[in-house]
This record gives sequence, structure tokens and C-alpha cells, in this order.
Amino acid sequence: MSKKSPGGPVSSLLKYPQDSRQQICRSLMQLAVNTIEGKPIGEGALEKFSVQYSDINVFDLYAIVLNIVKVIMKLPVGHTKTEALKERLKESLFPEEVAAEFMNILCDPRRETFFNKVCHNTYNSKLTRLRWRIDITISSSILSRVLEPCICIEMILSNGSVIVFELSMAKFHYLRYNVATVLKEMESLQNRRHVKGAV
Amino acid sequence: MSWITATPRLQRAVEIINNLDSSKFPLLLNRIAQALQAGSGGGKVFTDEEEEKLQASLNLDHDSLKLLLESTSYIIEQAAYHMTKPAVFHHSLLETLKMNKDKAQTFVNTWSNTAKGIVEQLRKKSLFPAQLEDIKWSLRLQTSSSTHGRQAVPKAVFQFGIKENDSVNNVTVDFNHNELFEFYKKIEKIQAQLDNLK
Repeated sequence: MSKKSPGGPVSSLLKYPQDSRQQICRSLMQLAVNTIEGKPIGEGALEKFSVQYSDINVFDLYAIVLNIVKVIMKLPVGHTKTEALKERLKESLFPEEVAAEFMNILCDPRRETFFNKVCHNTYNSKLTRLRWRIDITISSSILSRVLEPCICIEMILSNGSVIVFELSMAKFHYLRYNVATVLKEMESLQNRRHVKGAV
Repeated sequence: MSWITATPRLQRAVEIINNLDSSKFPLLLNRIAQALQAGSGGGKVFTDEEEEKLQASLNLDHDSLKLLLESTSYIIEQAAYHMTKPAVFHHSLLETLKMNKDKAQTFVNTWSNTAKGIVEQLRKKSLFPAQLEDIKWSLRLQTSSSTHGRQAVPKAVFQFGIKENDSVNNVTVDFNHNELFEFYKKIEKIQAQLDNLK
């Protein structure tokens, strides 16, 4: 236990004026969010604060902030007993303005999109670009008049590979049918989810 | 321009055809036409073993059988290339190639029955090496993760089987809802352009 904070890192916050407290907690929360998101954290990110706020054990404080942010982040969007969380923050002796900052994270509409980013990296590639062209064969060595359209597709994937292939009309309809089916399934899945979320 | 020319080689083949057993020829012709309809043109219609049996059954030597099979395919392929009408086809077999009446009639019957399928098959033939062969997909729902207790993120995985040089290369691509919707819009755009062609 550090000599700097006999009453724990949270109570030693009170030694600083309100705006400084808010300032450091906000910075630590941002750092926590970045950590959860898996963004690179610069070396000595915490040491910097430890110099500035010498009365606080910044490392202990950060550990607490990180845990609270993690818990808040895990709460389902639009589903939370806000009051209960407020109570718990009060119990943890955080000054009111800091507690309000935590509540802001909870209510941040960006929280939902944040989840989609986390663990977004998938084993499989993503489609980064799609180019296409429709060819009509006029004539060939085996048939004097063909006049059959076919589709040429170039897919550029997130792993950098370029895939070029051709589709006959039959295969194109098959592709169109499959994509439409999955899209419909996905949307009905989301609708069911909204219905559940409203309960 | 006629759809077929009586070359010496073809004339020799017609001589063989004229001498064939009238009950066996329709079977042989049908088998060749079926193979063309199934798109195996270019490859061999009969296996080596079958060819040996044919030699015995039709009483032909190896070279004559080869000439017979190649020429029969050639006549049908030429008819297909020019999309020859059965009446014109019949007339040329009799007048240009000097084929016997019964053999010419057999040819016309087979051609009338299989022309549509053969031409359709040839129309679909493409020289493009990579062809989309198969599509598989699965729809997944991410229900929780290391950062979030309860969530519901649908994810689609598509596997495109692309056939290239007789081997299939599977390309697997992930889509979330937005990405899939964008993909769908592009496909619809292609469809709209195809509709404009009509």
C-alpha cells in the first residue's frame, strides 16, 4: 500500500480541486476504454499522471477505474438500472462529478458501436471492394451466335488478395438468391432482438 | 455459305456410316449427342474399353472407328455452330454428304431432339478460367464477448467455391449487416443492368 494514500486512492482524489479530479478521472477512463478496445497504450501513460498528481496512487486508482469501466461496458445497452449503479458509485466514495463521468460512459450512444468494433477482427477476410462487369459473348469458336451475358466479378479482400471469377446467369441468380436470403434472415433476427429488448 | 463441306475425309466417314447396321447406328448417335448435350465435348465419348467393344460390334478397325466417332461429333458440332434447321440439315446430309436415306433420317431425328440442349450447353461454355461453382453460407449470432455481457450481433459467413483448373478454391468472407446490405445493393445494381439488356 502506498504511503501517499492512507485512505485509498479514491479518497485521496479529494485533496484536489473538483476540475482536476474530473480531469484525471476522465483521462483514466479514456485510457481504460482504449485498453478494453485493444488500442496501443503509449509507454509511461500512467507515470505522467503520477508526477502531476503526486498525492494519488495513480496505479491503484487506474485499476479501480478500469474495473468499473469494464463492468459498465458489459452492461446491456438501454437495459440498466441507472439508479442502482449511481448508488454503487456513491458507496465507492467517488466524488459526485466523477460518478457523473462514469454515468456518461453508460449512456454514451457510441457504446453500442464500440462493441461492434471489439473482437471485430475475424479469422475470415472482409470484402473491401467489389467491381463487376457484364460481358455478352457475341460469337465463339463453338457457336456462331452466342449472345449470352455473363458477369465478371472482382473481389478485393481485406487480406489484400484479389479474386476474379465469372458467373453464368444461372449462378448469378443463385448468388442473388442466397445473399437476399441471408439478409432477410439477419433482419428477422434483429427484429426479434428488438422485440426482446423492449420487454 | 453451307454449314458443312464434303471433304474427302468426311466422305470416307459417310461411307462408313452408310455401311453401318441400321439398328446399331441410332444408339451410337444418341450416345454421342447425349455427351455433347452434357457438355463433355472435347473429351472422349467412349472409354478405351468401350471403343474396343464397338470395334467388334460394328466390325470396324481402330482407325475407321476413330474416323466414324470424330466425324459424327463433327457433323453435330457444325450443325450446332450454325444452328442449322432440321430441314436444311437433312437436305445437306443427303445432297452434300450423300448419306443414305435411313441414316440421314436417324441424324435428323437425333438433331431435332437434342439441338436445343446442345446449343444451350455450348452457349454456356466459357473460356474464363475461374468460375463461381458453389455458394455456402452460415448465419451466426454473437451473443456475448470478453467486453460485453449481453449482445446480439448477427454475422454472416459466405464461402464462394471458385473452380479454377479443375480444383475448387474456397474463398471465405465475413459480413456484418451493413456489409451484407452493401453487397446486396451491388448485386441488385447488376440485376438492374441485366434487366436493361432485355
